[in-house]
Amino acid sequence: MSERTDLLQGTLDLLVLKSVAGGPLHGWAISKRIRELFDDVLQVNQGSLYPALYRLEDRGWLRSEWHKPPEGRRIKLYQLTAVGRKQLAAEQRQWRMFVGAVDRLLAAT
Amino acid sequence: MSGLWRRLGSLRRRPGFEREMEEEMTLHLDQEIADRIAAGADPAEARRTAFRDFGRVAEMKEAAREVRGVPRLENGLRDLRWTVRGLRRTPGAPVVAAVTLALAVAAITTVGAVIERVLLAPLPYPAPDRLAVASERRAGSNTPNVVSVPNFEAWRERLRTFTDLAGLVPDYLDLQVGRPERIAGAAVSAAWFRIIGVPPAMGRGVSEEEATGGAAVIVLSHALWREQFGADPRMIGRAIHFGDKSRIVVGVMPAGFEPPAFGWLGPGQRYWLPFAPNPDNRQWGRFLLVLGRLRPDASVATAGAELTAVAAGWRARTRPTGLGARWPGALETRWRGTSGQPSSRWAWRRRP
Repeated sequence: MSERTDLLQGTLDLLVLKSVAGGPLHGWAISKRIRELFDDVLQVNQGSLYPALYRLEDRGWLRSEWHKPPEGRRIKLYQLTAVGRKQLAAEQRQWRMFVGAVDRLLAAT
Repeated sequence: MSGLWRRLGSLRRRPGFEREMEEEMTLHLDQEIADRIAAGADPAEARRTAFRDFGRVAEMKEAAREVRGVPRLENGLRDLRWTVRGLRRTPGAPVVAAVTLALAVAAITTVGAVIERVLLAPLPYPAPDRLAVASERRAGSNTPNVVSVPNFEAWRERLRTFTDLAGLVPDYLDLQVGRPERIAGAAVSAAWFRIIGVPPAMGRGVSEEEATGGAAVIVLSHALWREQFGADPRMIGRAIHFGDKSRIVVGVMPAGFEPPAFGWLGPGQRYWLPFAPNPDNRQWGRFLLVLGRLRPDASVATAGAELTAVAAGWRARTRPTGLGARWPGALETRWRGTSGQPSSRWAWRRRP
């Protein structure tokens, strides 16, 4: 896997964790929220959300549950676990450090 | 094939994961399509762009399987396609290989089925609720499977609940005009053109005589005609060359026509060739996809019952042994969707 993909993957993880921080959402709603916030900045296939969701679930940062509304099809809701919430805070700190470092570097040259 | 078997074996041990992943991705695509239609997009355009922005579904599934430690299926599928091509060119290929192949296809159709269900709605065909996919299925299983040529022939001959029944096989050609390119298409019965009920924009479909005679003819998709042949209005009657073979163009389908795609036949079909049963392919075991049009007065339940009965009668007459002996017929209709909100109805008939 290339470094660029690794970077993108890490960013996607952060965005996914952030998008469910406000409450449980299903896959499409997560994708929609990320797109609403980042529309033209982040060009990523919507489908790549699913490997990310499964990976975050395997790490114990997300928990999923099928939910059947009174009408319509059942949906799989993802929500942050306690560990996931800590991870989100840690990732946000890391991201700000990274962005700050790059900013300083760019300002210096 | 042993590598393929291993992969399929481990895949079968994860039925819950595969099913749930399909369910999630299908829901995603359906909602995305509905969302785009609600925002004012044309339904066909909404579907096209939703799929484009999702990324290749098979690739996304592969990436997800890798996360969960399920081995790659794509490779297996590719092996299989090449195996089929090999078989088609090897008259009298061992029946054992064909049966093995059919079982492998069974597992793959299970995995691939759901995306096609989404692709089929909304359908631009006349009376789409009359279209149905006929499959074989293993006794005790709900998994739709591909169909053997003898069983397809028995169905076609005896079924009263269908006006027409067509066999379909995915096909590939190496195009050597314009930009050299491998293109995907399908070999289809002449009846396929009647079943879909969409007349070609130019020329005609494949005739029964051409199909049974194995005529070297081809019908092009509008996109292929436009991209590779510069939308040449004099294309009908002209020969296209593929390696040392050539085919005469007899028709061009209309722009925006989306062929039925299900099982392991993808939506990106860019041409159609004639398919007809022959002494060779009757020996290949199960590999056919079968699409039919129900009579206006026939219900899905009646058709399913008739399908099962005819398959049972055919088995009784031909007395297949071993694996082939326990495969009843099954019927599914997947054409219930309207306006980007597809739904599916499965009508499996229990074996009497």
